[in-house]
Amino acid sequence: MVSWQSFLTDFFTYGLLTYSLLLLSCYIFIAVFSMGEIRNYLRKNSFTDYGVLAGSRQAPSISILAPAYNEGANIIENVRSLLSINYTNLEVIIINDGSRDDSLSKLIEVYDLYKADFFINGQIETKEVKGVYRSRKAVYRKLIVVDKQNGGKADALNVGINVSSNDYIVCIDVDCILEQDAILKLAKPFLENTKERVIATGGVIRIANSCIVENGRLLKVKLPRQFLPRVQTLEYIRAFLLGRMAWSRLNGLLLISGAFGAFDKEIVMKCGGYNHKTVGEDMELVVRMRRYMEEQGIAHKVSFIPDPLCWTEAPSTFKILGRQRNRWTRGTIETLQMHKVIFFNPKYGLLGMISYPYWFFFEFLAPLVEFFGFIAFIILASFGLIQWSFFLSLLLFIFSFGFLYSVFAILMEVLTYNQYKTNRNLLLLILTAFLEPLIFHPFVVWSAIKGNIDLLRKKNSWGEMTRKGFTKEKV
Amino acid sequence: MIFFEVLLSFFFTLAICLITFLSFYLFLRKTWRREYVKWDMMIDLLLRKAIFFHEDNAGQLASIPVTRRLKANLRNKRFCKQFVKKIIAAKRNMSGRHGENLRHLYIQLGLDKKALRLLESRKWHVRAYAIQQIGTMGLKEQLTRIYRYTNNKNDLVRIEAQIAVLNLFGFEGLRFLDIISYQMTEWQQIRLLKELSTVPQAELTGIDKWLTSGNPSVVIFALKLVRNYHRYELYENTVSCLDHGDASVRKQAISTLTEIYTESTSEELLSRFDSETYKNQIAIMNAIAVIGGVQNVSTLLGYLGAEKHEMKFAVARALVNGSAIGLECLINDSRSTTYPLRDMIPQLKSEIKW
Repeated sequence: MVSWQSFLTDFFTYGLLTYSLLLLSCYIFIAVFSMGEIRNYLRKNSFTDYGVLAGSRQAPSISILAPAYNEGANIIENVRSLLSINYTNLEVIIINDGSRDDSLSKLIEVYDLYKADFFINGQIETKEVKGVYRSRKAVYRKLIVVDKQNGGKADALNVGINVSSNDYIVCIDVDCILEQDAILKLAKPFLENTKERVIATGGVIRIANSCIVENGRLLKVKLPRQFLPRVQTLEYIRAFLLGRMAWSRLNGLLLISGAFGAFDKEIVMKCGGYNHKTVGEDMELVVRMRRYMEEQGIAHKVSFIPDPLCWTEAPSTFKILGRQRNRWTRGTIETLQMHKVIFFNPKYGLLGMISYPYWFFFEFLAPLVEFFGFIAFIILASFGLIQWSFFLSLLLFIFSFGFLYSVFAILMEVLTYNQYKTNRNLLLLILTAFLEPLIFHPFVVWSAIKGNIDLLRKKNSWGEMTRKGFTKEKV
Repeated sequence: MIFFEVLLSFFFTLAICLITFLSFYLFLRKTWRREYVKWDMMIDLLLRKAIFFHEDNAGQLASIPVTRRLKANLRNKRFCKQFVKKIIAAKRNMSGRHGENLRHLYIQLGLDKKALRLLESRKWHVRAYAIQQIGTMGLKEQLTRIYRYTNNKNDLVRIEAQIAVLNLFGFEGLRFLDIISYQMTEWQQIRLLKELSTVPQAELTGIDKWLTSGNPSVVIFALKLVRNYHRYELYENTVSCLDHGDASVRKQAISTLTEIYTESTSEELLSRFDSETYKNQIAIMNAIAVIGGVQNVSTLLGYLGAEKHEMKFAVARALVNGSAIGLECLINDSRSTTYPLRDMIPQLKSEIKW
């Protein structure tokens, strides 16, 4: 008869091994699958002249929605940067989400704004709008500033959707720095498909820490000097260049980053806009839109492009990073909970049979399995139920794969966009890839565990995100 | 245990191989970059020489002098690619004699033959590249070879072939619209319209035929041509598109009519309002707000009872802009003192002022 000790040991050993091998297989598949998609994109892109779109009357009309909360320090430069985007059919909507600083008064003064008579089509329920401002100067005619009661990012974006008059919305964080052709590149996928309706498009977000920024424009790309932002640079390369591209090829993307993404407004409206009951409103909206399209039986696609389009400041302290990852975890679980009907439901096709289960097993469960598996192995080894050498081999095996995966991502980055050109930078990235599983990864797993606990405690705050600001060019 | 150790060694070895490849690739790229700079100067010099090259006394274009070194370099794939890229970019920005000189140089170096060989490639991006070269360099004699690609199953090959045909034959090149069976994407249409805007204006025939095409995207494109080139004589054909089976064709017809409208257009649009989709109903109201000429204000007032605010607002705007007495009628309407019309009217008034 099998003793309970050996059953427990076998259960943990083989269970965890199977899970790890499955996860690793998924990563290998993602890495290989993304290569073809990136290659195809780059080939097609070499024939594309985005200037054609910039001045075209036929280009889709786009509203940029940028919620701002206490952004007074940089709001003028950020808005100027958005207004300088080269695109004809564009309106820029800044939503002042009840800021307690001087954001609004600064905007009124610099952009010569007046309170306009403006009918807001309140199709999506939101907090009260105090006023809509437009500029007296024709040069700022694309600008609309909405002042509203504080209600959070999702509520602010919903107000923006209600105010917008264009066919597509681009939701961005006001402090993000966009590449000059970012909107053009994001708009193109909406124009390319005849068989499927493109309902959302996302682009690569890159880390701007240590980069030189002047007047809201990125002057020089630099690899972050600090370890934490640097390791996030590597993490973003892996996630965007490999992960999202592979999911885009499969047409199984569930997430367009809240920092920068474009959406078909008609579908967003039909889905009721952003959900302000979750801290993962960006993922939740994409899942809801996909679910809606599946239920309506309309062929659709969530598209993703590998070009670096948007640069953002990453958390540079463990405290802020922990809050961010905690929130991401809660957002993921909330979204999965809200749409649990999709789970292995063949009615939802790829969404139900692959995308959702992947997120459930390998995004939501992975940190839990990793954390509790680690503790269980330590206990089992301490009681002599498994050998320490076996435990160490398993850890080294996972470590070596993580390192290999990161090196592959660095190689892909060099072969495609090569943003961090010097040998020194690449060496630093490889060193970071080596250190990541030892320092960064355990912290991220711990933050995810805390996120799970906070969710059980029904904590639903965003957590304050303090930013240090970008590096300016020395004169 | 052994299983882990084998995999572990494999992963580490693979990682080291990738790092080695990365270092080698970076070294190679650095070498290439130095070569590119050197070649750039060489190519620029030749292109400048070619652009300002003069015909000989007999009026014949003589051979443009090319160094032996450059000819030898052309056997190098990377050099050849860089040369073609630069000559194409230069040709795009040159017309007349200078452009003709570049074309002459291209043929003199036998690059046209290379392009034709590439046209036979099985790789779609190579074929598209060859087609792009042929179109930009104006190799009209190759029309038959690229024309068949205008209905290719690969979208990029198709669009490059269509653009090339336009480059070679201007508006006349649009005859591929007679045969294409694939749907034209919005992006494709934007590119074609942009390309057409650089072609000298000439008699554009065949639109009437395309307006009755069985391919809805061809009809939409034809409607865009009618709008962009203000083809008033095709007004009736455009109106007949308002009864097309495809809603997106009808929407484009509504948009086109805002550019070539007559006194009766608003009534034509209103007569189809009830049978239209919601999106097209909004488009009709937006069109009326632009073209005006509403005779029967009461019809519009009737639509103010619409359930959705978006529609109400579009109707109110059409009323205010579409008729001289619209605003007055709107204000006098019993609903104007209640939400939402009460809130819409100030904005509409301010729009008139603006």
